[in-house]
Amino acid sequence: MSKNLQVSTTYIMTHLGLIFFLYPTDVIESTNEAHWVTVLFGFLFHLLIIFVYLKGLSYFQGQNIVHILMNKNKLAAWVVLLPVLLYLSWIIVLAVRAFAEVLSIAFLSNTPLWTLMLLLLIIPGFITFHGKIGGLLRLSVLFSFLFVLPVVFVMATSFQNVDWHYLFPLWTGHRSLIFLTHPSFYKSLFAYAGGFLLLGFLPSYAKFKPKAIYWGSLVLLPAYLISVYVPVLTLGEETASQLQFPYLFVVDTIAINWLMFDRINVFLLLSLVAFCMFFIAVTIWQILCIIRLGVKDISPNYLIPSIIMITFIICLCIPDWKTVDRLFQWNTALRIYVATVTPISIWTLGRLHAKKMKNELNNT
Amino acid sequence: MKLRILIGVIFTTLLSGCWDNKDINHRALPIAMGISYQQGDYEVFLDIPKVSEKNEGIQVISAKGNTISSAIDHISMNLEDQVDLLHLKVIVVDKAFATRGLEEITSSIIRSRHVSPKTMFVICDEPLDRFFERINNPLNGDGNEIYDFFQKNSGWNPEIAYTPVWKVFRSIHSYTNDVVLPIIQSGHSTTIQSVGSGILKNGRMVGRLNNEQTLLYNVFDGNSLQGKIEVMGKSTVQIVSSHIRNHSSFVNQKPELNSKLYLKVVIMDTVGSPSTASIETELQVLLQRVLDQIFIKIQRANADIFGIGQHFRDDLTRSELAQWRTQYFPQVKIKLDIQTVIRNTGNLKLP
Repeated sequence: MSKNLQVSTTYIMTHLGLIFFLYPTDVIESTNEAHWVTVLFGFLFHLLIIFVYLKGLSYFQGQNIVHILMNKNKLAAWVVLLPVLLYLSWIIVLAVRAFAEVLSIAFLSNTPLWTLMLLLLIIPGFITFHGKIGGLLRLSVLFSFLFVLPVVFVMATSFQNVDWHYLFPLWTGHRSLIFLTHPSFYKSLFAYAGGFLLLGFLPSYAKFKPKAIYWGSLVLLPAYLISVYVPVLTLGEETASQLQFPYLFVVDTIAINWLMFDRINVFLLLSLVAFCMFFIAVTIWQILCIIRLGVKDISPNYLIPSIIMITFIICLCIPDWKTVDRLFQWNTALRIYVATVTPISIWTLGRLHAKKMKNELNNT
Repeated sequence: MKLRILIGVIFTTLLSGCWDNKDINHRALPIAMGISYQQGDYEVFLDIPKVSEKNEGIQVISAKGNTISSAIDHISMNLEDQVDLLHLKVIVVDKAFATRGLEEITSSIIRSRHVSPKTMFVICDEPLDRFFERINNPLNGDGNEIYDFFQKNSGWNPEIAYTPVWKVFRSIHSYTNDVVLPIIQSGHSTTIQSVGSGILKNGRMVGRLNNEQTLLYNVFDGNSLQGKIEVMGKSTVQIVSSHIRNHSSFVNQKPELNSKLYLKVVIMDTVGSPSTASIETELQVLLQRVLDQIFIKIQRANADIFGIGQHFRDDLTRSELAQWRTQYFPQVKIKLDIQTVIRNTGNLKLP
């Protein structure tokens, strides 16, 4: 049975959790005008890697990337898998630490950071532990029923104070491409490259058509644009660049008389907490997959608690937001390596595999 | 299986995030805050409603400090409850503070996130201690007047400027957007009296508008709601809808803005029996005159309260736009064309 809906909701959920916090800040930092070019560039990059990745995977029916790579040269496999493993672990640490800080800045200012981080690790750990991948996929459908409505509501109302004049100038010639030289742009790719690896782990558990993913990405494009453009249109670039979390701030400025809630930010944040926990759960599951299939089949009973413990301890060692930011920046090189090398190597292997199969067919 | 569920339940209850919570009866929730500035010291006034069965009115507490937050901390220290600024609706500053600049307080509000960015900024025309003493006179009412005065669904009027903190923040950093803040003082027969509005440029007060000008500012800025205009000696009309069309261009390298303001009004009362045509022309002349006055005033002060520079974003490069207020704005030619339509004359006919 194909699980197109579940896979595409999973894909959307994991990305939505990443978009609204750091992504707008990075895009606004990387360019002064014509932000849509930056967003579109990142998005095309995202589509490209997904296309190559899915194309590569389609050559191997029902195998995930660990299987595919391990069947070939072990050494070569680790050249690809080790960075992936490192990247995923790095991402978990960053996501937990950064999100705990966001929660602390945004609304839980009295709660100590370690409880927030523990919360962000234990619940996703528990989800992965209990639900495995089938549970995660089903959970994504449940999440979309529960949380998409408030998120869409907040996204729609966040246009309340926009001044469309800030849209201009739309194109400033070669200066529109200046963001390519700015490190923040490469940092912003986090929102595009954070969750795509998952697609490679799914084939052995759930069948899906690539079309489901492309449709899902069409849902994400408005979210990327809104997260950047709503702050820019409401406050102007010069003001928006002063803010740590521009989108959250703009949501705070919305006043709706008929709504009994004063701060509708809470709706957005709670939904995003859910999405982010889901993202962390999915990432834990990917690490689990690599270790169990690639290294040794250790029982999740031991593996998940140890992943959580190690992540928690590393998170505790990160003292401040500046370090988080720096870690994001350092992560860039690895991110680009993973985002380009993994899809390309899978694709090359796929081509070789297909050729071999063809030759075998011809010989027999 | 049971163990797993038990673990799940234990962790979700323990890690629910309700940490160090103070119950609502141990919090003091001020609705208005006054800040005055004298020789390097801030004096903060907090307007805290007394919560009890009988509505006992309001309690005003004040303290001094080097910074605003230290003054608030002083109050919190000496108060039996914890001061929680989450529901603050109005921040009143005195003229001295507004002239000196609201930049620091705005950024500290936005940084700390304790105060909502939707809070209103208001300038007070008299010393704050006297103002707070007078508005909280128990004979006047229940003490919520300052809160109701600025609420769009209760006491707000189109003659009063309406500017939340985030707009002031935008004005401080933006190249092309300035704001006006309402100016109030304690009234004679009512608790509060509106005395126009102050023009803020980059967070500093540089000029004033009177009530009538503020109404037209609101109309021209596109947020008119049922404002009433007195047409000299002839009639009073109420604006029922307004709509502006702007066209920007550069003529001889000088910015030019052609604005067309379409107004629909209904007649409220008349003196004698003027014809509708004469009221229309009279109204146009009046609006033209007042708006021209405002334009001259703001161009002298270099404060772009209408966001006129916004229309030139496409014509200027970013570095040119950064000099909008000083280089281009004083040169802008604003050609205003006002079209008024009298939609109806009420229940009585007019010639």
